[in-house]
Amino acid sequence: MTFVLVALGAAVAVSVELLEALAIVLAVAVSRRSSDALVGAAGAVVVCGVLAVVLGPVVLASVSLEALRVTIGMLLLLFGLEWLRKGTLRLAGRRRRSSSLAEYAETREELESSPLPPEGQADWAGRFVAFKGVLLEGIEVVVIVTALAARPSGPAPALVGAAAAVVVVLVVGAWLRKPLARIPETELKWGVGVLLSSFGVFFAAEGLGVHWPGGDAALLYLVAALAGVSQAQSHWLARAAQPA
Amino acid sequence: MSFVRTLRKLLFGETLLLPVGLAVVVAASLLLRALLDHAWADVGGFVVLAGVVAVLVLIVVVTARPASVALSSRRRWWRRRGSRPRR
Repeated sequence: MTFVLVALGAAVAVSVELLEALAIVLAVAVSRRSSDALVGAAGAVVVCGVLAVVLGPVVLASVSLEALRVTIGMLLLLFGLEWLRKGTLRLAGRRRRSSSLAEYAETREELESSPLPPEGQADWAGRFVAFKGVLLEGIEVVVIVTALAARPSGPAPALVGAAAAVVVVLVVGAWLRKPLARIPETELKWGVGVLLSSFGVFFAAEGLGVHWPGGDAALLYLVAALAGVSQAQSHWLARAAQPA
Repeated sequence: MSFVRTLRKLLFGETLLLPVGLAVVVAASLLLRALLDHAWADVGGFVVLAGVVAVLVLIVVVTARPASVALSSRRRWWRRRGSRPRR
């Protein structure tokens, strides 16, 4: 069961991040030149690959098992609780809903102010925007997958989930713009926040010497508890905003 | 500079309360583990969960903007694109 939950968590987290990166690359490709968008994105992928190759072995080799579990737990909680906070506020109407389509439009708008260089000359503005967008989303992917893959039971579920996400996003990418508007990103990100935070609590507590009642099944009641608290707070915030 | 700021926000979130709150949860857990001895293994998980839930509730309450501000920023975003906001 842990295999499925870890793979699911990695797959959804990586999908959401890759969709955001895809929106930025598409915006650069449509408003500038696709070759420059691909050069910028490829540069960021290389940097993320190097980071993944360095980060994984260094983390595994230099930290004891107990400290590793606490470190993984804290990393997952840092990402998970931030996503959960934003998701709770979005569901309560206290924050703009997440939208890769909006990111696409904002990136196009950002590039409109910079003139396109003549054919044959490198478009550094377009390359930099694509590079920065993919790098920032990619770093998040690397940290989440490394944290999930560094579990004592092995990296297989995290890698399977991440690989599935890459395939899904490539298929969505082939559809281009319209599907970006149809994806319920706010709800997906909220779900990822719940999953990552649950894994974070689970691993951090194990690293602190806890034996969870029910073993791996504890993940289920951790998911239920965090989802319940977040939903309750979201409803409370939404009700508090309505005029009496 | 904005890249560094974005990277910092990416790793530590938009509010410092999150990393600080998590550090407090770990420190309190280590203290309680020493105090509770064998009982910690059975109840410690729920202590960590309670701490994390408290951090979540706190950061949501502290960073929640009034609904009118959140909605008006959304309207401004759509107005720049010449379209109407949809619920």
